[in-house]
Amino acid sequence: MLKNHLIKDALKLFVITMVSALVLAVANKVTAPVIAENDAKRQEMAMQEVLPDAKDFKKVDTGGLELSEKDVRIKEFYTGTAEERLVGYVVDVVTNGYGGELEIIMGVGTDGKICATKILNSSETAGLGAKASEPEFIDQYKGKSMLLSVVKNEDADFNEIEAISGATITSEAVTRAVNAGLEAVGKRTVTTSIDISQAVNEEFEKLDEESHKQIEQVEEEKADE
Amino acid sequence: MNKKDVLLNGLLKENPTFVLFLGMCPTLAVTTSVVNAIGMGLSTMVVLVFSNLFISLLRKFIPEKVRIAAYIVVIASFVTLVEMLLKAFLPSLYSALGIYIALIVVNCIILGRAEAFASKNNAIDSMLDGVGMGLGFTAALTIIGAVRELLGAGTLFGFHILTTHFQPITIFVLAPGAFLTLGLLAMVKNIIEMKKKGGEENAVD
Amino acid sequence: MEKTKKFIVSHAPHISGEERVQTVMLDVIIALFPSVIAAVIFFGYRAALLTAVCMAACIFFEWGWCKLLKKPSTIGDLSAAVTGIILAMNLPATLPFYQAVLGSLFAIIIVKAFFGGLGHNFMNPAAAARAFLLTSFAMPMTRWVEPFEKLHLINNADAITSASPLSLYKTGEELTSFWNLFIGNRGGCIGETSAIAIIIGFAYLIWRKVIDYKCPLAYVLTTFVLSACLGGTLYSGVYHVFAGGLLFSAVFMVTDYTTTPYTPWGKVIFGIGCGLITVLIRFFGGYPEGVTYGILLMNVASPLIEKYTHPRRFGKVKEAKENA
Repeated sequence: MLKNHLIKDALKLFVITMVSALVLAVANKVTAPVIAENDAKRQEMAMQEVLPDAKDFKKVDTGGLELSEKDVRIKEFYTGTAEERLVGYVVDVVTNGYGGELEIIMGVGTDGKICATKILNSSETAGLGAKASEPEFIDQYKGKSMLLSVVKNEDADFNEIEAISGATITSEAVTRAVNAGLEAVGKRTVTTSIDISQAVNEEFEKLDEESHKQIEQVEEEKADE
Repeated sequence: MNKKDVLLNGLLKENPTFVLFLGMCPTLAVTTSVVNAIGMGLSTMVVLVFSNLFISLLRKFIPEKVRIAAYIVVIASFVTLVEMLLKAFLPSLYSALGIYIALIVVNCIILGRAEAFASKNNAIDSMLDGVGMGLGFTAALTIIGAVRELLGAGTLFGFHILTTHFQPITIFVLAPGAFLTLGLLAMVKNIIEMKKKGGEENAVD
Repeated sequence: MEKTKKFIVSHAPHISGEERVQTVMLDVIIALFPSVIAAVIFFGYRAALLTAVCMAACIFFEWGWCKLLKKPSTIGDLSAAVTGIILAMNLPATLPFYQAVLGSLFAIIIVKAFFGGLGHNFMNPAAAARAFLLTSFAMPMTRWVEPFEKLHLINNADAITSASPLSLYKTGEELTSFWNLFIGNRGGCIGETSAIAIIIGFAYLIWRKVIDYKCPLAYVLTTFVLSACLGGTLYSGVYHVFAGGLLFSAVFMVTDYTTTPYTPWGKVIFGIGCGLITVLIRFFGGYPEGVTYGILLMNVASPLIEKYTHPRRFGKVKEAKENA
């Protein structure tokens, strides 16, 4: 008698769960593509914001890139182009701030200068480290192109960043991330140059071969005469 | 209780936040701004209304021995639905509410009303109870959120209300401020109630 | 029959001393005097004004609360005044006055009055108010100025900031000299800087039998030993005892009757606990100063400490022995 009861209850619960699962599966199918599209759009908006001149972004694999800064990770690296012309690079860097992970995105032009920096994710202290998102601090990075250090006084040189009063650790974290981004761009530009010169070399070699062949042909024809 | 009483119950007499003190976790965590507070309140209300409705419709079908498990399955399904819909169509609200959307499942208000009301009343009444409780919760969250946002950041709905000379009192957007605000507002409500009761007693004389 | 005097039968106590809450509080105020004077010497008239504002605000709020609840006013016991002075001593010289008033409101109304008034609060009101202000106004509360700077009433943005001795230690820069630590020529809260003034106050309170030496001693010793071990040198132990708010809190805040254990061993454990937490926060935590949170955490643990350090009643034998 009891066993029947148990089975009946279990079956009823099973039915409820089945129906729920089905409904959720349908909902997931409907919403998943929208969500994926939203994420891509959000990323693109952020990239557009830090590299305004670019129209298209292409992701580049930077696996195995060695950086001199510790405690940083290049999350994503994009090249930004407008009408086939390279405008600059967008780097997404993650490091550890005061209250947890700090993620920034920065746009660097082909001249090596930073166009803009934006803090994507952070959990810094409100009123202190959280001020890093404010223009007063984050705009300092505009136009910089070399490795930066953090100072606490008010007259910062062109390669120095003025720290947020009371939030030195956050300021140093952001600067560390920016430095890593600049280094990644630097290494990438070198590799790009190497790629380009390699490609050019290959082209030359091909032309060389062709001209050699043509010379041989002409000499053969001469010999035939 | 007639239909109107069911609806108004959740707003004042048995307000989930200031009287029943249920759902404290999202109350304290999400009221850092008015927008977040309203968003959370309305999301909870949607889940509450639908879970109350379905649990009430199924109340004869759900076996008593496994009723809590059944309630949770229903509630969790609706929360997941709400989460997916928010993520797809209101992504900024989704990222603002973050982990607390999923936590609506264990919001004591929903399970509490399912057990105390929806399992014992008809579908229409249960829906009304859901609306009433949801609105009461939203109203409470909004008031707390307004106080916290105004004092802690000087803004309301993201707009700067207080001038730049106002130095925000940061503690109010942090956890301790949440507790302080909730306690002080509950105190205010109790004082008002006591004064009203005192007034009624005097009026009877 | 000779006339017999009326024989009055009454309940204990049968002998009453001179001590009242008022006299104890007055002694504390006198002991605080050297620190207040040092504060004025190093930080100017604004320090005096800050102290006055805190005192007045605390007294006003307590008076206001009693009036609101239609109870007799308790400001005569001077405990509000003492809270005001101690709170002020824990603030930087440049703190805006309205923030000091808010802190006083928090200390008197929320920490003290809401929980039942004098003797019923579970946290040290001044320490709690300082934690409240630190969280609410992070930047003004951590802005230290050099001693002998001319300070303005409202706008002190131009005053030269200095790092406090503890933040210097945290960032690994050059440390303050011991002489400066001792007399108070360094940045910090207005009451914590001058060690000599605090020591004079300590001596007075011990002489007047207002405070027990056990807790301050345990606190200072624990901090000294732990900092010396973690810092690597004996001097780092000394440095940490004299830097920051440690000495001031050891004399005036861990000796608060209401919020600290009253049992002898309890006092020792309280002091050790405070020292432990303070050093841990200073060396491994994000803040340069750990005193405030050390005190507050131990305040919360006080009832538990009292429960387990109850002195054995004379003649009471442990029950386990009887079963043997």
